[in-house]
Amino acid sequence: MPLLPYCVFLAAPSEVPTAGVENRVVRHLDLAGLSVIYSDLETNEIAGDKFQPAALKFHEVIDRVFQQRAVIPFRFPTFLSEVTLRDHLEKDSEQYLNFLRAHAEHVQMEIRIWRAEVPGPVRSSRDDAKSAAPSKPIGGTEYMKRLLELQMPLQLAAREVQRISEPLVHEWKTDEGRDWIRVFALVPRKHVDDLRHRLSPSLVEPRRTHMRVTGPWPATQFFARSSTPIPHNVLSITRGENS
Amino acid sequence: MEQAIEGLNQELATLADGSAQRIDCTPENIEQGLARLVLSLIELLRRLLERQAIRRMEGATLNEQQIEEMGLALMKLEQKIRELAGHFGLRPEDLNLDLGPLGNLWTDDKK
Repeated sequence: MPLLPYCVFLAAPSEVPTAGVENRVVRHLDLAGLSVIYSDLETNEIAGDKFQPAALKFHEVIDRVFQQRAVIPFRFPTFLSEVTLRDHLEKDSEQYLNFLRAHAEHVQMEIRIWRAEVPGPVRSSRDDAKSAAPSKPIGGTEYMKRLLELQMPLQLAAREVQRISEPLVHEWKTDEGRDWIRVFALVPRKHVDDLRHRLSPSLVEPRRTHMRVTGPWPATQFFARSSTPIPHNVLSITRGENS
Repeated sequence: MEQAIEGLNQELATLADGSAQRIDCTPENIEQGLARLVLSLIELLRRLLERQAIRRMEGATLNEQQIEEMGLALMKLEQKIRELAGHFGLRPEDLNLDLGPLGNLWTDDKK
């Protein structure tokens, strides 16, 4: 039977839920200084209407462990054989161990900043669905200027976020599109409340941009891709927010 | 709180739709499947080029002629991708392929 792995963490006594997705027993696999928890599950057991409750339960299980220690979650849903899981852990154990030891006390906070409106004629991919090309022909320089203008308020807001919270943050990462920027902050768990306090919504110009802070999450954005194609992404279930 | 719930629902809906986001090549839709794969990769490159172009503009490492040429190229590329996607009955979001355990080809635009 395939298994559904939840997350990896440093092997140590931890309180783990006994029941997981579809009320299946949550099992332990300890290997090379790491623990991974999983449930035996067939892929079709969480199809259709069962998918959403399964996703919630999956993250509830991870969250219970994450409240106690750093974890690296698997993306939901990942199905593996036990042999594949063992091989993966053995092969990448050093990478996991190094990361989990180095960031045992760190969590990830996410700050999403997005534009309040989408002015034309440079449109976002979402608007592209509704509208065709620019209504009037424009030159290449004009096109580039408009792209830059769209990005500017987002960049300014992101810089302000980083400036305000710099003393609390161990590392930054950003990801951006035309209409949005996601700023990821790796922060000590003890600084989460302070960071939230600093990142009040008034930091951004509400007519031009919106901001939402979520977390703490496992520090998945800061974990380098593993050499084998096993995921470490996590569904962003919002635990708390300032918006 | 409402925003949080909405965000969660969006994430779950995205995940629930995951299986439908994969390339589905059957004899009946092979053309659309291939077009989707090719256009997805081109769109990914376009996004990367656009970011790089903005960075270079911000860094003032392009002269006026280069900005004009780059802008024209990116604009035409965007229009052509949209046009071809429409021709094959693809929406822009269809190009964001689900890579399974690796996630989507690019970050979702949803908030």
